[in-house]
Order: sequence, then structure tokens, then C-alpha cells
Amino acid sequence: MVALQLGGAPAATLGEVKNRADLIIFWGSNPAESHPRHFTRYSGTAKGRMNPNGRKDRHVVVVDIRKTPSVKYSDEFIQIKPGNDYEVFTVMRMIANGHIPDTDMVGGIPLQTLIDLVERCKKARMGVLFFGQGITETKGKHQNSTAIYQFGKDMTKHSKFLTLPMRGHYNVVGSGNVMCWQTGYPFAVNFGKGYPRFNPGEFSVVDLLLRREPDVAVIVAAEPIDHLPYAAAKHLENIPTIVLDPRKTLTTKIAKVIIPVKHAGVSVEGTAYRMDHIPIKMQAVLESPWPKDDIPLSTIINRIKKIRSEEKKTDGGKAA
Amino acid sequence: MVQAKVVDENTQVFENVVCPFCATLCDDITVQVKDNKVSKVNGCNLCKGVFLHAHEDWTKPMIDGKEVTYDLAVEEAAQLLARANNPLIYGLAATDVDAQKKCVELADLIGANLDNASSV
Repeated sequence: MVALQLGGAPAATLGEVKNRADLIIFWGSNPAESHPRHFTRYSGTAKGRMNPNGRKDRHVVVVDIRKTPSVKYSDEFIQIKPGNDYEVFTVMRMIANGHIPDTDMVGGIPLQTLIDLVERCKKARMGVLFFGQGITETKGKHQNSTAIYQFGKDMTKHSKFLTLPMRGHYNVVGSGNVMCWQTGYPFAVNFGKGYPRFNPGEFSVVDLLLRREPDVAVIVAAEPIDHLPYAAAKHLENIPTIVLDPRKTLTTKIAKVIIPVKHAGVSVEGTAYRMDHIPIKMQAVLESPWPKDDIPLSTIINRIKKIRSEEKKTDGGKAA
Repeated sequence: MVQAKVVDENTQVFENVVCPFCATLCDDITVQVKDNKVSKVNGCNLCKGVFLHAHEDWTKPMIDGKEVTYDLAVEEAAQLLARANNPLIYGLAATDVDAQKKCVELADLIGANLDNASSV
């Protein structure tokens, strides 16, 4: 997200990827296990307007630190040394701009392989680089993604080229979109002064928890005990944590208050944003006795307003 | 609920269902439901996990590990948040946009930190 703000990026829907792209690169992403049908629906075997033969019309490259299950569906596998993504993208940008560095290997990859890859990107009818957590969760973090977006920008001088993140949770894109629409910022927002302030590193969850600043936590449809670094997650055990979740998780185990809710997309309808920012209406197939999560949240909001107005009245009485 | 084909008295088949697991959001899933339990689903393994196990490990309203009424759990949450100095609201990635919007409203009201899974 920070990378997107620093670099900017051209966007397209997965439908365009399916219909137009003839070069697909998965970098630090293993769709065979993380997004199993991405390949068949959009990026691999799917037949499209300009790809009538499906898989035969596309060249698929996988770049990863190990031979992942996705490699067997690719035409080319490039193995990179862990933590060298930024360096490799910097060199790829050099090559793209006509500077060949005086070295044989970059990040465990032969220089010629990178020269060939850049050439392929330049000549593509439409190239798409999908990057995953292998980029965002390694040394360099958002700087890696920034380097990718900048490489994508360089490539647009030669061909149609997209750099798209392989988002994980089904509506993580929606959470960013809703927060942007409502507060102006995509994440790490603080309302402490009565208006939204954005500062990743200060108001982002891991940093807040590591500094042990929050005194109450509300966890909505997430699993921080499982997903956050241990030292950060540990603070949630020491403060009252309120969890809204349809299922028992490691986070509900440490919760002070558990509020059961319907499972969006399973037991209640709702809207979610696909990884290419397309809103999709989800259906319900099962019945659940609990309300949808915005209902208890509304009740909490109304109750807090009431508690505050009552407190104001009593305070006013004392003052008089 | 969407219109489902009724197979027999207890069995229904839903077509073109959207899978709420990963952000590919496949929208061509067929789900067969028998007695309010998913009996058959044609998605990938992750999708099967969502639907076939949807009725397992359900949460119940609880305070400090003890089962309470729904209203009491919501009241306790409101009391805690009304008195919080620097609350944190986190998550939002695995629910729909209406709930996400309510989270922003709550954060605004109580002066909270609001963050989602993008930041991790």
C-alpha cells in the first residue's frame, strides 16, 4: 500500500489479464497453493479474446526462492536468493534503461537471465507481474513493492505492463477501499484528535502493539494471534480484547468478550472487493442464528453514545 | 438468500456462489446444502474448507470464557470501549463492506486506531 503511494501503478481487471496478457510473471507468489483457481480462471489456462488457445498463447514465469508447486505450471523458473528482490529489480531497471552492470550474477540469478526477462517484458503484447507475500514479507518490505511498481513504470514505455499484488484475504482490498472512502487513508488511521490521521509505523497494528499502547482492542474478522509477530500479539492477551468472529480461532481463545456473527458470503449476503478492485456481491447459502457483524457494531455505537450522554448529565449535575 | 434449486425436501443446490476465501473471489461455485449443512461443493481445496466446515467451531457469546447472553456480551463490549483511552480496531479483511464501514464509524466515535490486514 505504501509502495503504491510512492510508485503509483497502472491498473486493469483480471478480465483484461485473461483476454490480453501473453506474459505472466509470478514473483514471490505461489498461486497453486494460495489462489488455486487464479491460474485457470485468469492467468494461465484461461482462454481469452487474444489468447484463443489459452495456455499455449501465454509465457508463464515463476520467480521464487524455492521450487514451489506453481513451478510445474510455468514455462520458466528463476530461482532467486532470499532477500535479494530489491537488488534484482534495481538491476532490471538498469537493464531496462540501457545500463548493463559489470557482474555475472545478481541475487543468485545469472545476469543474462535477467537481460532475457527484461527483453521479454519489453516485447510482450501485455505483460503482468503478479507479486505475493514473498515480496512484501521479506527484507525490504514495501521498498520491494516500490521497486516493482517503478520497474512496471519503466516497462510501460515499451509495452502494456501491469504490476498487480496477489491479495490474500477475500476482502482485504475492500477494507482498504472502505477506509479510503470513509477516512481518506487506506490503513493505519488514528482518530485520537477527532479527525483521521494516517501514519504507518505509528498507527499500524504491529507497531502499536509492540509499544503496548492500546488499552482495549476490537478484532473484527481477523486472526492476529496467528498472523501477527508473537511479541505484538502477546499484548492482546494483556488487555481486554473484544472479538467479532463466526468461528473459534486462536484469537477467540484469548478474548475477554466474544460476539458471534454471521459468516459473510456463507450465512449472509454482502459485498467484497476482488484483488483487482472489482466489487462482487456474495450470497448466503446457510442459515445462522447470529446477526451480521454490522448489527452488534451499531448496537455498541448507540450504547456508547448513550453512556457518554448519561455521563455528561451527571458531570453537569456535579458542576452545578 | 439467492434462489436455490430444490432437489428434495431437505436438499437445495445454489449456483454461481461466490467463495469467500481468497481475493480471487471465484463466482462460479455450486454448493449443495442438506439440512442447513453444505454436503457438496465444487471449488478448490481452500473453497471446500470454507463451505464444508462452515458449521464447525461456531463461537458463542462469551465474557471471560463463560457463556452469556448476546445482549450482555454486546453491553460489556460497549462498556469497555466507552472507557477506553487508546483503543485499537483491527481486522476487517474477512468481512463485507457494510461491517467495515461500521468499524470506521466506531473508530471515529471512540477516537480509536483503525488498521486492517494490509499493514501486516
